[in-house]
Parts: sequence; C-alpha cells; structure tokens
Amino acid sequence: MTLLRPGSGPWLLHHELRLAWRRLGGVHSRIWAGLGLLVWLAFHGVPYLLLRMAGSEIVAPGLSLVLGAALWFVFALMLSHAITLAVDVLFDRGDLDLLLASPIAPATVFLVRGLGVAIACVTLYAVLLTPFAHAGLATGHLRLLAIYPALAAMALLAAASGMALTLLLVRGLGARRARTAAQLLGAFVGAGFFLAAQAGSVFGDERVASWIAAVRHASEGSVAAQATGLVRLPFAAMVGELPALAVLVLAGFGAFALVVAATGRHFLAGTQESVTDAALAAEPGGPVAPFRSGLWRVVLVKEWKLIRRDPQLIGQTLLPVLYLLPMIFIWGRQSQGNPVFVPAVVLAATTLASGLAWVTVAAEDAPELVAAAPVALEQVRRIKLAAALLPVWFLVAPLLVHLALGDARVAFVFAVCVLGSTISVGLVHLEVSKPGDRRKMRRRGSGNWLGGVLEGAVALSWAALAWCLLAAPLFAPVAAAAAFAAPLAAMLIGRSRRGRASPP
Amino acid sequence: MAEPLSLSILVPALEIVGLVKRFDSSTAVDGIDLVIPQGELHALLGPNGAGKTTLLRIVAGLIRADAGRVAVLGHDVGSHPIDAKRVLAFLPDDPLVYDKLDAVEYLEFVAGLWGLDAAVAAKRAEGLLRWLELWPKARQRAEGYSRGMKQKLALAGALIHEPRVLILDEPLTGLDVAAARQVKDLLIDRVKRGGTVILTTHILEMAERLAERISLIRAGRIVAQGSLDELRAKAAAGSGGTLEEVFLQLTATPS
Repeated sequence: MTLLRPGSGPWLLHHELRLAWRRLGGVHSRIWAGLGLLVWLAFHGVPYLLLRMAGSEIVAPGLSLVLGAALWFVFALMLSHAITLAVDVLFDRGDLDLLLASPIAPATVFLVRGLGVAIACVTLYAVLLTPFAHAGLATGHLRLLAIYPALAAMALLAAASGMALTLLLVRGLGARRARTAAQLLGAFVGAGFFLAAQAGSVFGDERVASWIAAVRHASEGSVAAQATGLVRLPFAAMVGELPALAVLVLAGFGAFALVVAATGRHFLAGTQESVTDAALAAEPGGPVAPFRSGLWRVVLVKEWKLIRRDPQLIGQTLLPVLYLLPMIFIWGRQSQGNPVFVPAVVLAATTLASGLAWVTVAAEDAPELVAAAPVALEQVRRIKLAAALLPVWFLVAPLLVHLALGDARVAFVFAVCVLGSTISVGLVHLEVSKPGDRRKMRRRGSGNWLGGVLEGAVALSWAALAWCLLAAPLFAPVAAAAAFAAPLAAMLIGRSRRGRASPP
Repeated sequence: MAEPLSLSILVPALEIVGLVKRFDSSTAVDGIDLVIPQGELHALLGPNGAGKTTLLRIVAGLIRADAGRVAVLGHDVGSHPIDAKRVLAFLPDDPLVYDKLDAVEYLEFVAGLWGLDAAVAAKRAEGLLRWLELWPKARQRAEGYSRGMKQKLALAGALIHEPRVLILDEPLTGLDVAAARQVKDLLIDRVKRGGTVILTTHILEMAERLAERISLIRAGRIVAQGSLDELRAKAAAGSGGTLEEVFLQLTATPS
C-alpha cells in the first residue's frame, strides 16, 4: 500500500478513477463489470484462432495500410473523446481549486488529470486490442506485445492533443463558449472520419479506387512513400516494428509531457479567469427596447432568446443531428429516389425537435413564476411547444422545396412525416416529460425511462413510415399504426397521471 | 511547528508587498500591501469586483501574481508554494464537494491531500461531522445534500488539517441561522487559540462584530484599514456611524 501513500500521484490517480467509475454506473456497475470481464476473456478466442492460422507473417503487406488507416480512425475517436473529457476535468468539474490549494505540486495534479483523460479514452480500444497481445504470447508472436506501449502512446497523444485544443479554445473564446466549441469540435472529428470512410459512396467507388491505385503507383516516389509510412505507422508500431514504435512512443510521451507542463502554467497565470472576466464585462448599456405584449409573442420571444443565448444548449441539441448529417449529405447527393434519405431527415428532425421541446417544455427555469401567472398553464405549454417546433420546420423547409422540384410524391411524404413526427414527439414531451434543469441536458433521459422509450418509438416509427410509403407501401399501415400509437400512449399516460394528481 | 513559539509568533500570518495582478482587460489587484499578524481575525470588505477574490486566490496559490510578494507564516507563496499551502486552508465562496463521494470519503480525500496521518484524520473527521450535525448523513453521497450541508462539509474539509491560517471567501452564504452562528463561534474560537482568520464578507454586521481589523478594498487597492473605530474616524461619520455608513462613504466611486 506504500504506492497509494496519501498525497502521492498514484493515490490521486486512484481518486480520479474512483470518481470516473462512480459517475459511470449506479448500483449494478459491479455486475456489469463482471459480465464485461467474462466477455472480454471469451473474446481472447478470436485473436487466438486468427493467429494460429496466420504464419510468421501476421498480415499481408497490402492489408497493413488498411489496418493502419483503421487505427488512425480509432485515434480520431479517441481525440474526439479526449476533447470532451478535457473540458470536463479542466473546467466543468470545479475541483481544481481544492487540488491546487493543497500542498501537492501542481505538476502532479495536472499529470494525473492528463493520465485520467488518457485512460478513459483508451479503455474501450484496450479491451478490443490487448487480447491480440495476449494471444500473441500464446502463439509465439511475441512482437505483438508492442500493442501495449503503442496503445499507451496513442492514448497519451490523444489526451495531449485534446487538452491542448481545449486550452486554445478557452484562450480564444472564453471558458463558457469554449465548452460548446470543444464539444462540436469533438463531434466533427468523429463525423469527419465517418465522412472520409464513406468517400466511396460520395465520390463513386471507381474514382476512389483510381486514387488508391495512383497512390500505390506513386509510392516508389519518396513523398508518397513517407505518406504511406505515416498511414501504416500505428499498425507497424503495434506489430513491433521498432522504428515505428519508437516514433509513436516518442510522439505520445513527448507531446503529453509538453502539454501537461503548459496546462499548469496556463492555469497558474489565471488565463481562464481573465477571459471569463472580459466576457462578463462586455455588457453595453443602451436604451430599453419597447416592451412587447400578447401571450404568444412574449412566450415565443422569451424561449427563443434563452435558447439563442445559450450556445452550450444549442450545441448539445444539435449534436445528435450532427452525426446524422454525413448520411443525409451522402444519400442526398445520390438519386432523388434513394428511399433512405427521407427517413434519415425525419429522424434528424425528430431528434432536434425532441431536444428543443425538452428545453422549452420541461426545462423551464422559473416554473413557479409561470404557474403563478394568471394564464392557463396548458396554453403556455402549447406555445412553448410551438417555440420548439417552428425552428425545426423552418430548417427543413428548404429540403422540402428541393424535393418538391424533383418528385411531388416524395415531397408530400416528407412533409407529412416531418410534421407528424415532430408534433408527436412534442406531445410526448407535453404529456410525460418531467421538469428538468437545462444545464443537465445531457442527462435528461435519466429518471424518465418512459419518456425516453416513447421518444425513441416516435422517431423510429415515423422514419419507418416514411420508408414504407416510399419503398414498401404494403407495410405502411403497420408503420402508421405504430407511429400513431406512441403519441396516443403518451396522451393516455398523461391523462391518467393528471387524474391521479388532482382529485376532483 | 518545531520552532520555538516566542520566535514564530513574530512572523506575520500573512505579509503582502506590492501585489499586482493584471488580466487582459483590467487590473484586478493594483499594488496591495497588507500585513496581518498571527491571531487576528481580519475582514476584507469591498464592493463586487473590487479584487477581493483575486487577492485571496493569489494567497492560496491558485493563480500567480504579476508583481509583488506574498508570504504565509514566512513561507513565500511564489518560491515555496508547498510550504505555504501546508499551513493554509482556503474555502472558496462556492466550494466543490464531490457529488459521488460521501462525507467521510470526502474528508479522507482532503486529509490525504494535506498528507495527514490516517488515524488522526479519521478521528478529526468524526469530530467535525458530529459538531456540524452531518454525522447522521455521513455515509450518504453528497449529491443528496442540501446547499447548506455541502457548505458545511466543505468547511469541515478546510478545518481537518487544522490550518494555522484560515482563509474564507463569503463563508456564510447558504447557511441557516444556527449554522452561521456555529461558524462565527468557531472563527472566534480559532482566533482565541492563536489561529489567524482572513475572510471576505458582504455581511457587514459580521465584520463589525467579529473582525479586529478591516481592510476596505476598491478597484484593486486598499482604500482604508484599521479597527471599526479607526475607520469611523477616517470617514468622519461620527462616533455612532454604523459600518454600513462608513463602508458606503469610503467605497463610493468619486464622481
């Protein structure tokens, strides 16, 4: 236990991991961990069989390029995760004051923070890749043990890049806006690689194949050879090619050390405070605009203003849509008749409407004020719902025009399904949403599983209906029944709850 | 603490010389000099944005000053930050307690940060939690605590290593009457036993009743300092003037 001496680095890291663990799961986390461990042990069989079949040459030379590219994709996902985590551990968690005020060297504090980020973003991939190292041990491919240092280096590089990007954003935008920007950046990194992976469908398979051939052909040239070397670098490192491993380990550990040191300096200089200060100071005085009246107008204006002034909220609402964008983009470029395009947009519009409806209907900041006002609460809630749905309809309107110019039938299905699904998901929020805090947008699902299930049912059934109407009309009645069942269920549940809440 | 008492008592609890901290757009601390002897309860008063919190954060080693020198019990915060932090506790105005830790685990963690012996820490933790009436809920995670309970737990964290210098930023925010009274009694008790307490407060009555000396801060500078009587004399508010009148007069922006 000398390793965990209070105040030491390992002790602090233990604290960090304990917090991460508790945030992850509730009461059942131990059971899940046990199950996960069993699955992981069983998974060792796959690499064992693969390696038994492979000879001394583990993979064909051509395949190493593909696997290298796949590992770069893994790195992009790690980076995306690391950015989100860095925002959390450097700004959101708020315990840095306590740690920095204690007699522990700030360098240790930030070193542990960085390690925490690295460990969190590598865990999943370590679970998937370390069995190859262990199987290598059993089958005589000892060089595969290089997976351990190579993965560690990749994780450190991701953590370092994520923390550096976050700090740069904070310096440029201020702590509050940087959080949103970092989340969006993280999502874009992930979505960007997805888009790149879909290059075949965007540009046509033949053209991409010809590029690859061109690269292969040119790889006798030195520049292209370097590019090829870079692409296969992570793979080469993992199969124990010493130069590649050395480069990766040096880059990972070096970048990590530099960024950890820079982070400490940045915090002690009080940079984040100065930026936050400046943002607060910029509050220009001016003549008061004339007041508005009319319930519809004041409620709509209030909701839209609050959403517009909360970039974090916008970011979190748009995040799920962002993941759908590449698909919409890809299928939209293909022929008008692609039956997946309309359902995908319906799904995206429903997700967006659901997020916004939760914000306006459930996450009222001053529920007592609204309830105490001499207006019908139901009417206010309906206006709030309109405040959520109108922007979504406004956003998809150009798509409707685009579709109508091509095929009126597709446009009609699109309009009906978008209207139906957004209104349905709004109804679900009106009836079963629980009051929430808009700062906790990301965790809005917890404690209201029924609402979550109904939201999901609405989104999927309306998307399915759109697909059936366009591609398989025979099944449309089934999908339509499901599409109407979810909001109907929400209304019945809401009615019975209200009946119980207020006896006559 | 091995040094003889007669000598160590001469070292001021806090010594600040020519302290300056600039942010991009503004100067938060603009040349502050301040000496607080051991065993004093000193209040920093000033309007919002006067630089009080920045000053305390520099003393606690959370940010680095651009110029000047800060020493806590003779330990230079700039060159020997670890020694300075060891004798110091800083309680921010909105302190963090981990939602996913219970009260005992939180105190165990804080005690560990200050390198306290585990057996001593456990005993003190129980004493503090009982005294602050948190003991019945000591094994519940802090996510279920009220604001006041979290505040009390953070206070217990600040006290567990028995700091010789205690710095509190708005210590009574969110506390009920009984808890506020407990905290006030505690502060007086610590000062009686030779400890030093430095606090910022908006509750003028508290500064008036408790503080031996008061520093009035405006725009990053100390504009007046002394006992309440001395401040009254300076403001010429007459002998019956309350601290509120003195405060408003001395911190008013010259028009």
